[in-house]
Amino acid sequence: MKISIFNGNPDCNNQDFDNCLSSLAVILEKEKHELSLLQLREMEYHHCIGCLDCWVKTPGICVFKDDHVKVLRSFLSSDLVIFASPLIVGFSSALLKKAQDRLLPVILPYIDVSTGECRHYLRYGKAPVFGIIYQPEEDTDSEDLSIFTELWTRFSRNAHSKVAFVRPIQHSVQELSREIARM
Amino acid sequence: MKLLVCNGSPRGRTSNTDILLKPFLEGFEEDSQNTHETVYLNSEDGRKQAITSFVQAELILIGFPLYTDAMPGIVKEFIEALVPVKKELKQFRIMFLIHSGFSEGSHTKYIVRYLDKLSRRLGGTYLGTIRTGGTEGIKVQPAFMTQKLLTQLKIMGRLLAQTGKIDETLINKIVQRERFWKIELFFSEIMSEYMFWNPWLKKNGAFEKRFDKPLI
Repeated sequence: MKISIFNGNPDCNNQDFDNCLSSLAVILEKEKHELSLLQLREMEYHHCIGCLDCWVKTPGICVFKDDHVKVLRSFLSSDLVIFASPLIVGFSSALLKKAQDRLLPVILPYIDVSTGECRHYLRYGKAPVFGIIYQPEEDTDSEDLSIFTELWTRFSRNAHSKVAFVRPIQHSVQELSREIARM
Repeated sequence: MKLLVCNGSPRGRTSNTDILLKPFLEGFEEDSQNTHETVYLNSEDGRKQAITSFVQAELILIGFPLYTDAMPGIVKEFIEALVPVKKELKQFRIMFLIHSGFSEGSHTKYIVRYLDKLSRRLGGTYLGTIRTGGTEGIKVQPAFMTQKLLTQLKIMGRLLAQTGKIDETLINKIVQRERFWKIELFFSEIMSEYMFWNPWLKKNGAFEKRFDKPLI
């Protein structure tokens, strides 16, 4: 399986988080998955400005020629994309959200109503399955996790995908790799 | 009363968020004692200014369009920047105005729980979230299509001035419906394709390239 991990940890001093992802990457590579681990904080990344040029002017191409292209290519070539970020104020980091917003070129402006609820059609006809890895904050409670999971589930619906798992970094990476193998 | 308005649209001063906020603020300022300050979160400087104003504010509105079913990245960046100043915040009351391109209320429904929790996390009093859909075309739509919504928003602003609250009944009226009939969706899909997206693509000379897959 082709797997991409988007590391949305903004803090290079948060080693617990990065270590979890590196050890997961090592295990998944041992299992013969083709892996790319992208460090978003080291990338040049502009915020989406909502110009919609990637839909109506230069279809599929963003006005900003920054590192988002690497993320989009990785997204498009993967069977599984793991969105990873510490929880910050109850949600994924702004760094990861920025990358999420910039996925716009992979969808079309046109609306798919086949499920009885609007969503956009996909430009490339397919989307990877999503996995979510997070690190709880000191005050994270079950309400936060429910909100966080629900928002990612909603996004997966609009992206024609599904959330296969939502796991904290405390979850055993061996166990997670077994779960991924069963997918 | 002074209202701090944080416009969280990446389009800033040319945003649909601004169009929705305008009648709301008119309603609010019918009482001449009321004023507002608008800060735009779509630049580094704007977010910095917004933090300074947020610290002094007692009544706050954050408005934004739905991006990937949640707040735009710039709004998340702003929220994260509030944490270090949390202890300096005054006793404040906060409300939100959110909107989605799609018409159904089902899209904006989920982030509301986050905004409620966020308000409590920051120690503020949560007044509510006004949400509406079908806003992408609002600039080009004829007045008869948008008038009802803009009038409702004006009343909402007026009621805020009078009662200090966001009217729950009116919130539900503005949302209209969480889901639409399939035939309505089908109609709006065709409308948006032929009346909105295709003319825009043609104007840009990009119609033939509309299904391009440049990344593979």
